[in-house]
Amino acid sequence: MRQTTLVNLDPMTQIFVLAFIMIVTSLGLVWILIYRTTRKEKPSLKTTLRVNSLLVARFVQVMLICGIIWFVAWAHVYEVLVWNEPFIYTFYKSFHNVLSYSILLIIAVYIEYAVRKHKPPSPLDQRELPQHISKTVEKMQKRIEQLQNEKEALRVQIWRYRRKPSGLAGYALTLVGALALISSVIVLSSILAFVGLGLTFWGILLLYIKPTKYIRSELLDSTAIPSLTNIDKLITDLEYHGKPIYTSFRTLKEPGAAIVFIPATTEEVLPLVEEIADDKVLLKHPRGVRITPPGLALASLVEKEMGIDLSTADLDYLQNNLGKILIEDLEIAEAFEIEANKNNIHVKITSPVYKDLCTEVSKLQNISPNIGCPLCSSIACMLTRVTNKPVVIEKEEASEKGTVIDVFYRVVES
Amino acid sequence: MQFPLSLDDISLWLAITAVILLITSELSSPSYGRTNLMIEQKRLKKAALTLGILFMITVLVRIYGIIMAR
Repeated sequence: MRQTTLVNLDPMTQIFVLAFIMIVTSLGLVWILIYRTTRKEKPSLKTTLRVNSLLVARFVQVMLICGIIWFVAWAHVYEVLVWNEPFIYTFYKSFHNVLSYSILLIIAVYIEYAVRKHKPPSPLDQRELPQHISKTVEKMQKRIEQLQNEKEALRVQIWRYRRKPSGLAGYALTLVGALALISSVIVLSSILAFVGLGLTFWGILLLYIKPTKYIRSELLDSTAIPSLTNIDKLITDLEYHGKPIYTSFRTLKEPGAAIVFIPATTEEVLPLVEEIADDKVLLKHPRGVRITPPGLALASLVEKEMGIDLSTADLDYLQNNLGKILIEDLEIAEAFEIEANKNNIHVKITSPVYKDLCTEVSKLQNISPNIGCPLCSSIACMLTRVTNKPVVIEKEEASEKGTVIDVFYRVVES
Repeated sequence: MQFPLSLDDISLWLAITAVILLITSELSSPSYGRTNLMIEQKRLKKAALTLGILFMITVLVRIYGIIMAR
């Protein structure tokens, strides 16, 4: 059987196939140009179209240009290349195609004219102003235009961050692909088989790589801040002024778990193991409060990802592996550096997901920098576990936009 | 009725798709700071590697066919 290609299909099938491709492309373009870029709080399609009439006009123009290219191709390119007709003769031979693209061209030009005519002029354009004022006005107009463009770009960017991944595209691609594959077997068309194979594969892939769970970082921040505020208030009310110390005890019910001890005085002292083992919060010898570190759960998660008990590892191991876990596996930060100089450890975190939370936490005097945000706290927990020594957070510095956080830890020699 | 693609066609398709996916998975890797992409990076990598291996298998089948034909 002769293989089916687009050229040797009958004209009606050609039109059907190409019309189908054009409809699918048009729907995709409508979705990308109008719906995706302008959606704020899910307005109806009617509202979107009314608000974005200019975009709709431009879209129609794009479609008309596609049509013009299509008819030009059939009227001239196809006739010249396939049938070796002289170019001038094609105007006569494919008169219907020529007529079609001429009509489309005229419509496209009229739309352009209508768009320009109905574009509301700026009130300032309608008045005649002195030269020095008009220059300032021009500058201001340019500035306003620039700011509006920036605002639009930022809005789109925010929307991109906020949008929830959908499985609709995946299902649609899989369905169309499966139909194309079945059709390819029936009509024995390799083109359809390739199209079907591609669409099915990408549809399934889209569904496969779609994140299983998606949580906005604002949600994460809003759930963590109240508990940290409570700790801050508790320490303020207790009037404990000591520097919080991260430490881990092997006698705890959960072996090796880290705690934070806040002494009542400024003296750097550790609590008695017996008192810790009793699971008390307010300790008497020495006087202080014992709290669960805000980053303990995160530290446990990192440990689980590493697949190792951190109390059996050393600082070198942590230096070599922590970056990989935080960046590649948990995707918490874009870059991570850890440097150890005797008892001082410097950690640099770039663009952490806890960026906003860290900024909020920095306003709480008892939490920042001594106890730290959940991320800094989790690193302190890990450090105390690998060194088997108490650790204090000396300093926590965030860059202006909070994208880079420098944390300085000190290992306390007991 | 028969499937219109031969092993060579599928092999070519696998090669192209595998290359696209491998490059995509590498460029979108969190190692380059792409941590805000809302996709399962590990799954993408796994899919890319699977396609690459499938392509290698089709090549091996082809080589085996050539050897056996002699």
